[in-house]
Parts: sequence; C-alpha cells; structure tokens
Amino acid sequence: MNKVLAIARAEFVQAVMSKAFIIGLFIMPLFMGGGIAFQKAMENRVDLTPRKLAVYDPAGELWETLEAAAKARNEFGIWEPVDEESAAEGDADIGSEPGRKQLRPEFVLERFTPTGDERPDVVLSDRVRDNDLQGFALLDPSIFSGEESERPFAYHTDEPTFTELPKWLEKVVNQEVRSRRFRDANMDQELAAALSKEVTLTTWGLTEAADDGTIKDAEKENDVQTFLIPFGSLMLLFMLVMTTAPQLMNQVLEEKMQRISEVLVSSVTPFQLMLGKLLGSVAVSSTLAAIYLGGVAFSAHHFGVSHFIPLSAYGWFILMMVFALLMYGSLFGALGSACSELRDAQSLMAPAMIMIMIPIFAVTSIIESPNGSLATALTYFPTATPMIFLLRLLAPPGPPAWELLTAPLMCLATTVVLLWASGKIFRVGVLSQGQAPTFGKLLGWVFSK
Amino acid sequence: MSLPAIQLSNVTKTFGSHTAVRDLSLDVPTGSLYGFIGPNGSGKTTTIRMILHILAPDSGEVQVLGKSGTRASNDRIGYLPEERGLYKKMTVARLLAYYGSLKGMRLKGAQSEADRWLERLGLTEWRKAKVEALSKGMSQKIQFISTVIAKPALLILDEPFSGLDPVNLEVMRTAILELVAEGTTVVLSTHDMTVAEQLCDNVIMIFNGDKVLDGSISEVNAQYGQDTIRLRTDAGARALEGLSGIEHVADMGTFQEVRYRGDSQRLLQELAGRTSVRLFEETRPTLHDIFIRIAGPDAKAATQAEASPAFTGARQGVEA
Repeated sequence: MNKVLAIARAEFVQAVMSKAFIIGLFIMPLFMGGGIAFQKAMENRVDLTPRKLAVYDPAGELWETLEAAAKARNEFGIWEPVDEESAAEGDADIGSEPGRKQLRPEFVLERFTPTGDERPDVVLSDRVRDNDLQGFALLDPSIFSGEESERPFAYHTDEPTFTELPKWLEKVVNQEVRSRRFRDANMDQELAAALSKEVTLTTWGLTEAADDGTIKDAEKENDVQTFLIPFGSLMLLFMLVMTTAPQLMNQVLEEKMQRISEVLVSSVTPFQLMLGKLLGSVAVSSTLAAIYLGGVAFSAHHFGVSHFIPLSAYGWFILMMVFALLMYGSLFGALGSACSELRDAQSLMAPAMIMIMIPIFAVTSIIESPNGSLATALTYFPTATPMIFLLRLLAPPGPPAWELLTAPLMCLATTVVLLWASGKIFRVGVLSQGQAPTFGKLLGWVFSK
Repeated sequence: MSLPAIQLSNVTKTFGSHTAVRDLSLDVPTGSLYGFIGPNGSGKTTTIRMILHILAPDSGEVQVLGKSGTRASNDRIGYLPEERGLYKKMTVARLLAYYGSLKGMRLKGAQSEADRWLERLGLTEWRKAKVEALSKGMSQKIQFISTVIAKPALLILDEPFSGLDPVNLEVMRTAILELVAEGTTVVLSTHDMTVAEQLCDNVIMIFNGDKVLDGSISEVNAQYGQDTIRLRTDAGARALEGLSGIEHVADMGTFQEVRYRGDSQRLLQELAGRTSVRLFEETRPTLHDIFIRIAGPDAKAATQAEASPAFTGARQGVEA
C-alpha cells in the first residue's frame, strides 16, 4: 500500500505543480464567466439594419393598422432611455440618439399593389432574393370572413431564423382581428379584455405538517433549485471527469511509449501502478472540486441562496465524483495501457467518451422527470450511475429513499468490476507493443489467467 | 556455499505460437558479474522479465535471491532497461526520491542516497534540473542512479554503456565494478562483446530462445579452440582470395581475422608468396567472433534451413 501511496503522491505533486493544472483550474470559471460576460456584451449588439416588409392586403382592411403599429414600434418600441454620459460613451452612431439608444431594428412596411396580372408572391419573392425585402405578408380577405382558406395569412421569407418580424406581424394582425370580431358582435372590447385576462400560475413546493401540529409553509419553486443546482453539479462533475480520465490515458500511454512503465513494473505490480495513478488523479480532481465547491458555497451564501444547497448535496457530490473518477479513470487508464500510439488510443477512446456523454444527452429529460422511467433506467446503466444519480438527487423532489442505497451500491459494484477488468488489461497492455488490440482482444486479456 | 542469486530451472515461455525461451536452466552465482549476450529478439528481455516476475514462465521455476515465484525480492533488485524510462518533467532529485520510494525506501533515505550518488557521478549541480534539460549521457547516469539507489543485492543492467562517451563509460564501469566488489550480483545484458569479455566473469548466450553458451569467458573460448589467425598484409583482405581452408574472413580494416582449417604454416607460406606479411598471429576466437559464428547471417540462414553443417557443428561444440 505504501508503494501505491508513493505513486499517488508523485502523480498528485507532479500534476498540481504543472501549468496544465493551473490552466485547468481557471478554465471552468473562464468558460462560465466568459460565457456570461460574452452574452452580456453581445446583448445589445444586434443587427439594427431596418427590415423591410411588403404587405399584400387586397381588401385593404389591415394595412392601416399595420402601418400605424409599425410607426408606433419604430418610434417607441425599440428604444431604451440612456443618460447623457452613457450616450457619449456609446461606440455606435447607428441606433443612438440623444437620450436614448436603439435596441432592435426598425420595421419598414410597404403596401404592395400588383400591376396587371402579375402574381404578387412571384414578384415579391424575387425582391426578397434581391435583398430588397426581408419578407412579405399575404393577407387573404378570408381572415375576417371566417371562410375556409388554405393560407389566410402567410409570411414569406428566405431567412426564417429571424423570427421577430413574423411574431410582431402575427401579434398585430391577431389583435386587430380580435377587436374586429368583438365589434362585429357588439361587445365592449375593454370589458372583453378584462374578462378574458389570464391568471398567472406560480409553482410552489409542498407544505409540511410536523407531528407537533406546526405547519411549514411551502416554498416557491426557484430556477436555482430546480435547474441551476442539478445542472451545474452535473456539468462540474462532467468537467472533472473530462479533465482527469483522458489525461490519465495520455499519461499511461506516454509512460509506456517512453518505457517508464517497464521501470515501474519492475518495482510495483501493474495493479499497484494503476491504482496509484488512479488515486493520484482522484486527489487532483478532489483538489479542483474543493476549490470549485468552496467557490459555490461562498457565492451561494453571498447571494442568499445557500438554503437551496444543503450540506448533504456537497457530500453526495464528492461521493459520486470519487466513483465517477475511479470508473472512468480505470477505463481510460486501461485503454492507454493497451495502445502504443496516440492515434490508436484516440480511436479506442471514442466508445468510452460516449459512455461519459450519456448523462449529458439525457439531462433535459431527466430534469423534467427526475423519477420517470427513463431517469430510473439510466441510473442503473453502469457507467452512467454517478452522474445521473447526482442529477436526480439534486433535482426536486429527489429519488425515492430506497435508491439512496441501491444507486451507491450500483456505483460500488461497477467500480469494483471496472477496477478488476482494467487491472487485467493494464497487466498485459502496459508491456505490450505494436498494433492496438481490438475490443475482442481486450476482453480476452480481461479473462486471461 | 551460498545460494545462487538467480536460479532458473527448465524455464519455458511462449507467446502464442512463438517460443521466446525454451527449457532454460541457469545459475548466476551471488556476487558475480554475469553477461547476458545474444542478438535482438533472442529471448534475453523475456528472461530478464521472468527474473523480475513481470512475466510468469509457462513451465519451470524461477528463483531469485532465494525466493521462488513471487515478487517478494523485487525491492532488492535494481533494473536498468535498455530503453531509458525517466519522467522528463520531473527534477532529478524528485525523480530519484520517487524511484527510491518505489523500492520501499523512506523519502529521506532516498534523498540522501541520491545525493551521495549524484556527487559520486559528478551530477550534484544538476540536482534541481528537470530531466529534459540533461544530455543523453547525464540521463543515462541518472537512470543508473535510480537503479542502484535502493542498494540492490541484484542489479540487472541492459546495455548500461550505450551512448556514453569514453569518460562517462569509464565512470560507469568503475561504479559497476565497485558494486560487484561490495557483493552486489550484476547481470549485464549487452551486445558489446568487448565489454562482456572485459567485465564479465561468466556469460550466457541465448539464441532463438535456446541457451547456446554458458560458462566463464575462458571456458567459452576454449570450447571454440585456437582456430583463428590474426594477420596484416600489404594487400589487405585481397591477399586471402582463392586460398583453400579459409572458412571465414572478418576484415577489420587494418587487419583481418581468419578462421582457418588446416596447417597455419602452409597459409603463412602461401601469403608470403603473394604479398608482404606484417602480422601473423595464431589466437583464440574473440567473444565477438563466437557471437557472429552463432548468430551471424550464416547461422541465421542455417537456422532457417533447419540444418547446416557449420552451424550444427558450432552448436554441438558449445553444447558438448
């Protein structure tokens, strides 16, 4: 055991003193912080080029409404008031006026009247292609008559990803159609609006009644609790696995290529070597985790949301992290030992990467239904257990009590099996040279004496 | 009489259909300097790995430092592989302490022993340097220190002198001989027959998995008789063309070594009739020559053909 610890200590010291560790330490905060900062910076940097819309309204019943709505929007709906100082600092002349700053592009409407027997959609499509128009709207008179029509109200464009214009158009037209219907039915429009006002639904947790009769009121559900904590924890665990397991594979491969492994296995058994390396990796990741979790705890306290992250959440995170690192670390270490070239290792790595990615693919479905059949089934897919169970633990309401025992047992069993199998592969692989083995051959190594 | 440091009894190791070592028996006396010679792929490394219990034999017994079939004595074995294995990013001091700790040494003990060896091999000032900053010769000496740091009772050195300049070679040779003088058993695996001849008490040669030589240098030489003539003539190797009785000529440039079957005086007379003879010396074959006879192209061809009078003769001569 002393030798295993000696290997783990050397791996740990070597890793935390490397530039890669320092860079790795800042990568996640940089990614997250940088992402937020980038989004913030890009928030107001939209394309303010006016978007021109042609409207073909043969009945002429909506044109004036649309024209007025566009004028009102362009005048008042796309601006944000700014103080003089900020306006002076603004770096774009476009969209800036004294006292206000343009946030969205103008909509410039043009009423289209066809000449002769030309088809409006053909003519207008050509103008869209020529970049003269963003799109065009075809308003069929059946909008008001209620007659069946294939396309009572259509918007044509070659840039469907720009949805702001059709959404605005739909809203304005529908408002007008609704008011017209109320008028035609001799109903007071304001009264109808008041009567049809929607009631807002809020989501709350459960009320708890204690044995002594006291009642603890339900708490309002919060995005921090329902999404941010489980998702953030999963991403943190995923990142820790990604910074450790492939790194371990490269390291084992490098030691093998540089014949260091041969020196080491003359002093320790291949299994001791693998175990020492794994423990070293777990120690490195635990150091990273301690720093990040410390940051999370501090931030949660600072922003007054620490009650959403119970102490047990930290404990579960660490437990699942250790299982995940041992599982994936042994798997990747074994693959590294089996190869003699980086290229071979990378091709063997692909299936292992898919195993790591499974929880990421399933994250939305699991958060939506943490105790559904998909979530429960994936929890017991061996290598996915740590990440998926962590996600389910932290997404309200949490898994049933029996799973607090079965999922860790599943993790333990998978870890033991993977350590055993990887140890067998490592024993043969670390001294083998030449072509990378197939998965069939790796299985053969596992079951060899 | 003390137990042999290494005792292999009828050891066989196969990899698939290839037999790497066949029915090998060997005793390496404690305190001796034993040479392992043989061409690449002959089974030397497999034998060394079995001695280190990295590989288990298919059959036979491997006993090392009195322990059989376990890695129990591995902490008392130092192994220097042919291809050096050092962590390039580690400092010399940390690397040596680490390798020492893997042999069961305490960190402080490993550090002080590392310092002692660094001083002895003139590398003290490189103590804090990263391994990647060292020259090839220095790296080799560091690898050597990492092998001997735990004061092994058995030292296995695979090509310890390759890449060393004459000065460093001499330093290493002295260090090895001092260790032998202190009682360490040394197994020296090498392709350099001159080194083996100069340093080793005994040599074993493995060829195609079989032991083909085993004994002291003088015993090995005696097995091959005095059939070699070293000569220098004004015409060089051309003077030997067309002469009968010559089995092999090794042209060394300034002189030639000739394996001759027949009366050496007749050869001298024939040469004198062709050119001026400056040197004519009857001598025993060198280990190099014996190596070539066993493992050279002729022998390989003979092995492939499965039967060659010359090769069979050599094998029989050795085994007799």
